[in-house]
Amino acid sequence: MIPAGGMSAGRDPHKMPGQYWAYGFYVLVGVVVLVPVFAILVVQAEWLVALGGLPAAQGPRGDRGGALFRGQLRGEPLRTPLGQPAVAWVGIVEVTVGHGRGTITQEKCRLGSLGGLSLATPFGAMPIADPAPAAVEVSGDIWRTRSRRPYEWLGPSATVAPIPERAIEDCRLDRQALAKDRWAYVEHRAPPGSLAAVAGCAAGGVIARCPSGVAVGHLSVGGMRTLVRHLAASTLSVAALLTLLMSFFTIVGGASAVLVLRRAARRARGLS
Amino acid sequence: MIDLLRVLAYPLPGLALLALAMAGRRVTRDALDMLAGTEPVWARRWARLAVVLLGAAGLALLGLGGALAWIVLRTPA
Repeated sequence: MIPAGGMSAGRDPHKMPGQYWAYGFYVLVGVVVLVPVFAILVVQAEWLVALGGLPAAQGPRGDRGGALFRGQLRGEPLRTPLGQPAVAWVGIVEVTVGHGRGTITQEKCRLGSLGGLSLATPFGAMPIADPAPAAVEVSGDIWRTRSRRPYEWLGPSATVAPIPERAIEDCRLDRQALAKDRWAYVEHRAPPGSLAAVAGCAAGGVIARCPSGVAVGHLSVGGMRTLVRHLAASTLSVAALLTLLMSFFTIVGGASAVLVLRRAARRARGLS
Repeated sequence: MIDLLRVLAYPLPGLALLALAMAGRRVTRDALDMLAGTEPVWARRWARLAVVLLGAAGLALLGLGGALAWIVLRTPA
């Protein structure tokens, strides 16, 4: 930080200490990395503008570029592995293992039911084309959602450990392996009677993903704003984390330089 | 209500960085006023560079946070 010996006698205070060249290099790297990252994030924000600005569906035919269908979510009454009532659910078994000095969490198995759903819209019940649970995004990761994976926001998730018996059986998990690492079961579910919004195109009376554009069949319980908020938060987290990381050496170098200046100023005041 | 507060907090990281840059600018200027050209040039350059870069990063983050908050709030509930 502050040069060894600071402004002490025997050192030329006007010569930049060596470590500042290294700080300068890291600052340069930070600037070079942040510019393209912000460019990508701006594109993501534009994508969110398009999703949030989808028009409300005006009829069962929908809009060619995609529309927002709203209504009550209906489906076969189901029970999740946690014993909760649902019309749609996704359950994920995760394992956290040691990786070097830290840990890494991996998805081991995904269960669920997203089929047979329909939306009770003002212009009649419209079936929703059902994606496979493995093909949907439930974590709110905008990088995956933008790659035309439908995002299903089914409501707040519940995480439990140990893994429910039904999930162990359906996933055919090795019970001996369960004793070793840290396992958890994360469940997302839409309760019966939930109000939901689906971004898609209507084809033959069925709400499905549009051939192009942002309306790829995203489903959000509680309205599309909830889903957009999760994706916006994910975008901002990436931006804030990277900016802080990349600003670290700028802050270190800048703060040290300011301390050197203040020390010099105090000395000058003492001399005058 | 809590959701609204969360959205309104989006510009905060950018504001925090901007506040840091402003504080750095003030202390740098105070020190430079006192030194009147006798200061180590490298320290003055470094302090100014840090203020400019942190200010730019703060503005960019503030802009992104504000834009994202606006996007969320304009989406029909």
